[in-house]
Amino acid sequence: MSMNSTMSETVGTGRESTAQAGRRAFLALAALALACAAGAAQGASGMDSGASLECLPGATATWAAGAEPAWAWGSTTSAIVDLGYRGPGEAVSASAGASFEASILTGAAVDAALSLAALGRLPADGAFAPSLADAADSEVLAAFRVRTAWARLDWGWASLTAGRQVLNYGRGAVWSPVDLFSSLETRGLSTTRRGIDALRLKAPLGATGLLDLVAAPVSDPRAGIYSLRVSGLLVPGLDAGAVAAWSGEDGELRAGADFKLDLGASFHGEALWLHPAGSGLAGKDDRLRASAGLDWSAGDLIFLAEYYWNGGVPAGEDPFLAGEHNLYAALSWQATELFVMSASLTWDIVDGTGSSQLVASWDAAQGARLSAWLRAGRSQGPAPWFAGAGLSLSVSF
Amino acid sequence: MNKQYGMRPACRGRALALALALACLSGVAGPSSPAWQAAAQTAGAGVAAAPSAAELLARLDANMSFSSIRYTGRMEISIGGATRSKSMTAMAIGRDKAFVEFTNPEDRGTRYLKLGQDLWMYFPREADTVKISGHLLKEGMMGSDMSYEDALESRDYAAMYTASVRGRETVDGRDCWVVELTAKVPTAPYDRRVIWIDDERWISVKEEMYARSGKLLKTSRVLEARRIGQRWFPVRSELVSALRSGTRTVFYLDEVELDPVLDQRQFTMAALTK
Repeated sequence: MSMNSTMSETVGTGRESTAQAGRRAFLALAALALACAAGAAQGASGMDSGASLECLPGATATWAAGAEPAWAWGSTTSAIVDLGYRGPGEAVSASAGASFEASILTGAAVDAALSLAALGRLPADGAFAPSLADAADSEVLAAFRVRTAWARLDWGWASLTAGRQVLNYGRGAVWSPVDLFSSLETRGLSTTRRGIDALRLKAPLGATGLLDLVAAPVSDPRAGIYSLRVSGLLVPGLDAGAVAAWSGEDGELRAGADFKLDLGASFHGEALWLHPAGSGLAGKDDRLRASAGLDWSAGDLIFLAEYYWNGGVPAGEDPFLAGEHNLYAALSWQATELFVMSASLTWDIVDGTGSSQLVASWDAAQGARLSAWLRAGRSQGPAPWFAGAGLSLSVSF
Repeated sequence: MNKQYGMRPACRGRALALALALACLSGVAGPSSPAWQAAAQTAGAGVAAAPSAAELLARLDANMSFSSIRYTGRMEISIGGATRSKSMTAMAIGRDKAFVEFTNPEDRGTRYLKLGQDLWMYFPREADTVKISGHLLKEGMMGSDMSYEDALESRDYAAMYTASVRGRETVDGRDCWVVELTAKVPTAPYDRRVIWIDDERWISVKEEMYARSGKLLKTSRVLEARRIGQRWFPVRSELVSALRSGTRTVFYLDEVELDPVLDQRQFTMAALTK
């Protein structure tokens, strides 16, 4: 993975028009206001807000064997504002939340965003200034997106959430086949999940279990994803879940299972079966995706490893853009109370591509973290080798 | 490409805060040891001039035990010359159910749920629920020896330790009985503990925890106690690791409500992931 792709993914962009994004922002604010009003009608209200700022300057070089490296510089600076509200309620309580992100891209980060847009790989929940069509010669790009905007009613025995929200079904660190909804993306030096527009009904099954019904109808309800998930603590040390879903867009029935087992070390696994069942899909084969991993610690060291099999499809058809067989390994070391070093490797076993990353992170002050990173690896293309270095400064308010 | 996962490094600070908050809850909420309670009952209402260790611990437990608790609190973690502050709201029913939500900016909305010996953390921005168990329970965090195992400790000292009275000493101007606990089962988190019990306020004003080697691991101390209803209750406590220099954590209870009526539904996975 090049620094370019990291920078662009950091932004969270899309080819949606500014007008569309503006409408979504308006809807988000309307949902928040509606929930606030509902809560206020029941009595006292509680607003909550927070913000964070992250700046990632860096440089990267790409080269082919025996050729001079091509250098690129750039940065991504993002501000995220989170708003929340909780109503008091007795029998029924209302709550709402929204998260907005604005970013400024410069140099190589702009090029990376344009490259991803050309490949059709930019998620469609962002707006740009200037628009991507006019940004070919631009050195600076501004991006905005509504990360989440939801309103919730809670009856105690169940809760109903409507709007853009993050749904996290996976247990994997990097690859989660059963994560049907919120895509995992790189953001800075870690990963994050993108919100989706959905209606979610959640009900407790005892103290440790959950029943989860989700409808993500997108613009055409027939093309949406509809799912039922049951999860919980089966026996001490064993968390497990099962999900069944219908994807209208792909005409697929999907069924998956996941677990996390603690036996001193922790083991996790996921599998998703995809069965073409829509009209016009006769003859298409069933597919399976699966992952497995473990994590373990000794003193100040933590080790994590994960394997992912994409079912034998080309990387371009895989939701994680991963090859057939993939490995991830990470080792972190808490050197002091405020200083952590971590090294990680992502490797496509079949085609030999991958990236390695070394990060030194310092808890510099209350709410402020400064990190330095080095990254190197090999991708596909005419100049497959890449290396990069940079900083990350994040501040929370 | 590091998803925030389990005890990933970035979360260790959070983990410390959670564990300390949990330890505070487990230390104050819950029924007292039946064995020592029984001993106290046979000793009558007052404590004799030379009470037994069981009687002292039973009185301590009786004062520090509540059916439920709700509080807002904060921790100031001093590491060398740096200080980090964590704030939270928390509630618990007995020893087995606890819920903590952090409110400081960098951890805002991070929650933790304890149900018996099971412990989960929830990170709202990623809607990520992480089970803390197995090897992670032994993690020491941020310079102290506080671990999740400490936090999940049942405080059933009678089952794990043999107690004896070592005498009387003065700590911070308070006259105390000194009670020594020696592990009688291998699962006890510490081989030896020494507790200084203020027999006027019936709080543990100081406690030392030792390894099997005899090495002092950590010391906790009550810096301030407040009268809440009919009992004295610690509202400012300190934890110092003996293994690393320059670290100190002070835990403040700003608003404490004892025996409130709490909704059992608050202590569920559904509430954790709201």
